[in-house]
Amino acid sequence: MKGVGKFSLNKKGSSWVKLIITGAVLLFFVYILSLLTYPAKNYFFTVSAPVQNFLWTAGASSSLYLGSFLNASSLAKENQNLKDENQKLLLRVYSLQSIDRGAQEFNQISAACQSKGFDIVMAGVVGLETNDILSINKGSVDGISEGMPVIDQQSVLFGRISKVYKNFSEVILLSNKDNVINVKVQRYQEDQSVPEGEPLPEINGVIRGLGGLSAYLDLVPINTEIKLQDILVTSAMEKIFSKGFLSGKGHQDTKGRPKTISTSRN
Amino acid sequence: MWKKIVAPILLFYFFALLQTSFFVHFSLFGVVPDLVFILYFGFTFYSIKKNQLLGNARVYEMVFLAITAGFFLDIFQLSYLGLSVLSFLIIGFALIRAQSALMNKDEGYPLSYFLSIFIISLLGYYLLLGLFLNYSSPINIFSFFSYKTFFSIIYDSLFAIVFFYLYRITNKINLPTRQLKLFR
Repeated sequence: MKGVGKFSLNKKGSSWVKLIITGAVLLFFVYILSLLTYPAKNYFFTVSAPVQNFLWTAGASSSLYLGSFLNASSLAKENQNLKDENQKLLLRVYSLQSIDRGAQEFNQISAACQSKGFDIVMAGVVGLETNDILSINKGSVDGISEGMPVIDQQSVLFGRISKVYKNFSEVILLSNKDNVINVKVQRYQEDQSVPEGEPLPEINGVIRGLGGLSAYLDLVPINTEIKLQDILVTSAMEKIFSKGFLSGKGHQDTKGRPKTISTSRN
Repeated sequence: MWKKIVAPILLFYFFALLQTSFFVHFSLFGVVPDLVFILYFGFTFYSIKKNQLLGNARVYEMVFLAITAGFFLDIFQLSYLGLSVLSFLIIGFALIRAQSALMNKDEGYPLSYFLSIFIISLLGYYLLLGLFLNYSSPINIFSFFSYKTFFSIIYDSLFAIVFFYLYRITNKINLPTRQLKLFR
């Protein structure tokens, strides 16, 4: 009987030792894996790029088709065209307002928007990771480096390069939870509260990422009325983004709660 | 034998690509279905029919599946390799333990059994990911639990149900009926 007791105790003890050794081996394995992150990710992204491109395009077109099928009343494609046109118009509105104010900064903004003084590298999106991080198909061999701003054709700011691999890069979107950027709220042109001819006051604030491809405008002065049509442009205070990139517009106005801004999705 | 090794590798690779490139266009309230997790959970859940409840073969199979699924998910979705592998291993061990504790040797699990364990595992997975990604400030793990978690559970459960019935059809598993049990 004593022998049986001893045997079961030893068996229990050895199973604990086995469990600890297995756990240690697995943790070591995971540590080794983490060291291989850079070459492994670069290799798989390079190999998978054609398939990812195909799947990305297929997903975009099929979601467009599904969207138009589900919303029979409005064509999704037409909606997308209108959104693109709206973005161009918003930028145009902002440019015209700057001209009216006679601000010197306009030339810099315009130059930035029209890609003068910037070396622009065209890149394609190949994937969306968790925490609002995009993968693009250009890397260090294409001259990409960390911290570079990422914009679309209409100079709408998407985010900045957070990590560069040899053949691809990761872009941390504005909507990422860790992202905070300084912005200026550019009042909508037809603001009736300001007498005609007087410059529209600028409001400073910050855009904070909420995750899930959405963000909100924070740190705006109390009693400041912000309209849904107001647009947000970068103010370059954090010295990451250049001045004057369009970064969003008022999307949802909830009293007592921060305003959500709509960011562009590709 | 090659099927048991090559097929899961190819499947997890393809599903990781699908999840990060195709299904991002079908996000619901910003939630993309966790296809790789669903596939990993399904395979581990049903591995019980081929092996013993806590047999070594089942554990080895689960470890292989966790490493493969976690590796591809980390490659295409997370910034560091190993986080999903570790999460999947912990979920896998917990799943095997839970199934052995419930002692259901019948491979014709009802959907409710499958789904409830799936949802608990999914929540555990989010908790672990939150813990690993915010190891410097553990309080932030609760940021992984928001209203989106609710939509995520619903969205992923829909895909899990599809997997459940597809697996049954392809493996010719019949749903258990009360009548069959009475006359067993």
